[in-house]
Amino acid sequence: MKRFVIGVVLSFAAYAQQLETFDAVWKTVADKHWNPKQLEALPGGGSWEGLRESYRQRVQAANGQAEVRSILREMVAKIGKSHYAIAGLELKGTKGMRQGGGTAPGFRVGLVEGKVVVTGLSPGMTSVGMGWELLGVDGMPVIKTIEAAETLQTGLRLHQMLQTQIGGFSGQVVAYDFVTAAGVKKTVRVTIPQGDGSAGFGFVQGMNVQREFALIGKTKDIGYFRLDMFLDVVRVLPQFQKAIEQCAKCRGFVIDLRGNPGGVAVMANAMSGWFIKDSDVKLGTMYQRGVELKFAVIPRLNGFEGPLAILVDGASASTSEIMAGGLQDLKRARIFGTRTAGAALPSIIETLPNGDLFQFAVANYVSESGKELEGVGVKPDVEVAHTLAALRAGKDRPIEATINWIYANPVSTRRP
Amino acid sequence: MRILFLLAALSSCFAQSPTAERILDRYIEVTGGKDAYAKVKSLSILGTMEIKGQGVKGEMRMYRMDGSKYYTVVDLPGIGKQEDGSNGNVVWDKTVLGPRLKTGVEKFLAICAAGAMSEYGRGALEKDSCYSKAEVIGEEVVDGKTAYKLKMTPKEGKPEEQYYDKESGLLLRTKMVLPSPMGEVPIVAIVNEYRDIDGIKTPVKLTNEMGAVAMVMTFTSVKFNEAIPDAMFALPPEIQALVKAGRK
Repeated sequence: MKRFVIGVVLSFAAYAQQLETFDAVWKTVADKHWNPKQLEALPGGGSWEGLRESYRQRVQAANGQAEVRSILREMVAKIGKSHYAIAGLELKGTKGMRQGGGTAPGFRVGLVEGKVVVTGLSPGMTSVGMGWELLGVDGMPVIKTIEAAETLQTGLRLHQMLQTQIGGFSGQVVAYDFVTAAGVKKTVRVTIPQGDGSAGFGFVQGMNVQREFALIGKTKDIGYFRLDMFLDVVRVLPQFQKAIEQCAKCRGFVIDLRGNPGGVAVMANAMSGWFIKDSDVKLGTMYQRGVELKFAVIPRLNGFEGPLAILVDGASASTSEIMAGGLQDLKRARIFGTRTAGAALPSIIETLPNGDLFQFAVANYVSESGKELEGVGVKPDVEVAHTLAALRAGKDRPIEATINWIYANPVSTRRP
Repeated sequence: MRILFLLAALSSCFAQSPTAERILDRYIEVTGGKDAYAKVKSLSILGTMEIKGQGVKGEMRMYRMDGSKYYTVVDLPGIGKQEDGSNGNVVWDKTVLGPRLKTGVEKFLAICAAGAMSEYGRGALEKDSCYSKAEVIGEEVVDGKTAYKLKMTPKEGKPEEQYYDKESGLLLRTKMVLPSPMGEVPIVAIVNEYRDIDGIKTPVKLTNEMGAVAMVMTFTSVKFNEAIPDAMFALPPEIQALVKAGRK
């Protein structure tokens, strides 16, 4: 009898928590969405107020946290914007897909001409070659298609899926099955490198932010800084400053934001300050409910005055788009690569009553030229993508395009 | 009947709102009195700052000294140290955005808040007050308490609204619009808790609401008249470089 009573009490508590979680999600959107008018007419029809009761009843009848999460994901998807997500504590990916750790193995992959191939190598990676096709990881085939048809941010979703499959934990040995550029099948065991410490912000923790500075070009006089995520402010910004200082006499500078899904938004402002001379310059404007915030850039002393190129692709999102789009609009940077993800809304992550995380957008973002980046992305000035032939010859066509442009434009571009 | 009516009319006269000056003076009286405030020449605060609901919390230190000297540093995990200061002449900050000199209205308002006990120790407006005008513009229920609503107009910048508890005389919240590099930011500063520190009832927990974000400051240690070395208010090298370069 006692067990029955405890069971009833626990069930009631779980049920109450399910509804509390629903109410938290519904009310947060109702109270904090930056434009209440958009909630009155959702993209697929109906209104946020109108869908409340039916979804609440479904959550009421749901059998467990996983089902509640699924219902809530469906509900927030009705808003039709990026940066709305419900995350459970356990990872749930595509069926049969390897769930690796958060550290990259020392190479990067992308989908090129229908194949998952190596598109970049970290300094010191010599056991894998550019353009090698990746077939499997730790005996599991690489999955390269997205289950549900998505017309929004497909490049970003796919990139995230691929990174999840190839990643590992520092010190772990992972087996990768390749077909080399010469057409030979080869398994390479890679020890996942140690990062220089984990980074994070708020509920996003344990990230290993990959960044790299090098001098490139035939005379090694072009600065190149790659950043795979806008996190780890404490390490990344001083390193970026050092890169700028080292590059005082460089002919040009390239910032590689390909595959960078975003992060701490003000890092875009901070990094942009090294390329701007004037005061009262902004990358764009953020519109919250009742508040407009300028994404101001504070000009730094002794910044870089030469030509600036920024590399982007379909997996460059959020803060990457704010930076690339803003500097493009200011005519300070020339953008190379492929159109970005179109997922540029500032967002917050909070904990729900059931312990899940709820990410929600708190503002709209409009770039300096007046363009909304959400759903549209940044269109490069020079559209250039990888090809299999170039990769197999060890060439990165987008980087080469930036180098050629810089050498052809030795005079500083306008530095606002 | 006529006598009762007369008495009712007389009592309604006595029940009229006090003046803004009286409300401000009362705040000083109920929190410690002018003499107690006048003795405070420096302020040292240790505490925490938390971005509510987002798992971000870090240490905060604040130092204030008469002569418009101040230094505040907040160290947030994932963001690092954000600093803000004045040596009495140059007002600056050093944040993720980079080092910067404050000028104009922003500098004026920063200096206003910089004294050891700032404006709240002064009671009614004096000629060197940061405010040119104080008016009672109504009453409002705030956090379940009926409060006098004052419109305080600073000599530079936008007016702010201050809410004083009718019953206790304590300041409950302030609504203001502050200039910043990101534009004008509306902020609601709520006093969550007061504590008696050396005879002065001092705010020790405050919440600043800015749009969808709320920052909670909790003071774990508040000391008056602790010796603060001058070096605390010295300009950092990056700020000195900006001053030298004539940057504004």
